[in-house]
Amino acid sequence: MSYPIRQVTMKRHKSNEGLGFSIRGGSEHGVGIYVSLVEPGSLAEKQGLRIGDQIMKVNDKVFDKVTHAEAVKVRDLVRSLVLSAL
Amino acid sequence: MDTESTYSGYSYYSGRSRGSHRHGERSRDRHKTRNKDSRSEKSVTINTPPAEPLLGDSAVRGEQVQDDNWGETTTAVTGTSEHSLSQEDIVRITKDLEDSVGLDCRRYFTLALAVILGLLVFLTPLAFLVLPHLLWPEKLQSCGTACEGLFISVAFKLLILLLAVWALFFRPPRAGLPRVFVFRALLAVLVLLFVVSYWLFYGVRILDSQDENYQGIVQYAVSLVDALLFIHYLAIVLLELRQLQPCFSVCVTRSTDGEIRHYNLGQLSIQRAALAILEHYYCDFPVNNPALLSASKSRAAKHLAGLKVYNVDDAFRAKLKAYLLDSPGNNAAAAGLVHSQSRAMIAAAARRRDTSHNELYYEEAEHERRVRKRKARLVVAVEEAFTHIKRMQEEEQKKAPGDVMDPREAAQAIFPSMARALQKYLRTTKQQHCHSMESIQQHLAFCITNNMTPKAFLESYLTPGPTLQYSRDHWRARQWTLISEASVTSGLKDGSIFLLKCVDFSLVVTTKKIPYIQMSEEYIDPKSHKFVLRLQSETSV
Repeated sequence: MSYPIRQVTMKRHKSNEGLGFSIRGGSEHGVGIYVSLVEPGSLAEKQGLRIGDQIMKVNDKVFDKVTHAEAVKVRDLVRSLVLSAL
Repeated sequence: MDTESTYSGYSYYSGRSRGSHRHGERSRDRHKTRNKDSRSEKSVTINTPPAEPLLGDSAVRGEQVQDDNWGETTTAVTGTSEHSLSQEDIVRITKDLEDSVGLDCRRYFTLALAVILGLLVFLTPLAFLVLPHLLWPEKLQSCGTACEGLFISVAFKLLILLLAVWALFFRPPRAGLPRVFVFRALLAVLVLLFVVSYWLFYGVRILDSQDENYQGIVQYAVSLVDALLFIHYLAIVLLELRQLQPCFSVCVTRSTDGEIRHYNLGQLSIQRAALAILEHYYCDFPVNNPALLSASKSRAAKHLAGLKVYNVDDAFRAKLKAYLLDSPGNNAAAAGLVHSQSRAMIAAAARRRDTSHNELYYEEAEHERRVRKRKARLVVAVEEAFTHIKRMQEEEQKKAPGDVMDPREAAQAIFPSMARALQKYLRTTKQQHCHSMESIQQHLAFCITNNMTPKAFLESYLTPGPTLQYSRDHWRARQWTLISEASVTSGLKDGSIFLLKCVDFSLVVTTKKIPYIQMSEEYIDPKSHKFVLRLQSETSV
């Protein structure tokens, strides 16, 4: 099943601001990186992220077989996200 | 033969027999004699239907020892005062002497040798010290303080040696073994050579030249005692310590009912291993009850009765060959059949094939039911009998002196109420010949004295105990025969098999070596124990 793919650009206002969503998954569990929680009123919600979206690419780095820890590391450099949305 | 169970005075040096310096020739002669005897001995095989040789082809050798040949290859482990001889050539020469003089002579002879050697060993240092004073007192230098200190040391070392020899060697012997105890003989020879060489040196260098240096003589005597203590240390290591570490696992099977036990033994000679196994046998194995095997014997008899045996002789074989070779394509089978064994057993009663296991099954179920019923009746009867008596307290004893009974009378009073139930139970489980009425009453008195419950009283009748529990005359076999292919003074090896035969049954012993264990180590840092959750973690970004 392939869901439609969207590209989202997130611009942080402050450098230590969070993006406003939580991720779960990772290659060590055998699945991709998924959005599990979206904080209300956050940047992510404004951009239209929903629970269940899978993160496909971040900053042209494909999130195909990436572990959870690596996915978290990329967070600080996020400029654009490509996700496949339900 | 003397069958009284007395212990011989088998002390340290008792294994030594005359001419033990011919040790090297002994093994050669033994081989020759054994081969000769195997041809001259008749072998009596036991009459069980499938007669398989237990130890392979060489089982004929030394299988049954007959009375007139007992001196030659006798391998008899006896609990009596019999000793068989250690060297076959001496046996051959002195056989009539031995038969006429009797068996006690051998025992006393070895005891006398031991005593003589002991006296020689203990008196030698004292002689070394005293002789210069007797023979050339005027030339002798006086003994200073160092010298007198050495006197004290000699005295105490001799005392220690005396106690040590008493502790190690002067113990009542447990058994009479067939061959000489090799290590003891070697040690005796070593001690004798040692003492003799010291005497030689003393005689030549000190007595002949009449040495005046008394301190040197005293030091010489001290060195003798020191060396004797070291020989005693050697004796401890060889005789006691060496076999403590377990090296072999032996499996002991009783031939009549298949009881198996496993023991761990160290490096022992076969005769000493047999002795250790027999001591374990009396403590561990349940008593041999031949009445329990009667059912299987009757089944075997019924099987034999249903068989018909055809003797295939040459005429029949020729006819069979002609018949089979006429038909085409059967040549290979025919040849095989014809060349097979000349005695063929053909089961004739094919119809009866399937019924015997049925009978066995129902018979066993029925027996089980009967035993349980009898046991229930017995338990109830005993419990009721035990309620009839009560232990009297001290104060009550003073108040009512009439009608008090001691344990024996109390046992006799309550025994009749349980006697019949007990008798029936013992008959059902085929144990009635193990327990006499006297022994039951004694046991009952014992249980009453020690405040035991009825269940505790009954336990010794419900399960068969080890052989030692039963009365002496019934069960203790005095005469055991050790049957072995290898020499009984050779050590145990992996895969060695020997038999211990007594009148009713035999114990089959097989040996396996405990494997060499190669262990390696692996170091684990305590900080290296780290864990992760298998649940997916959630991180907020």
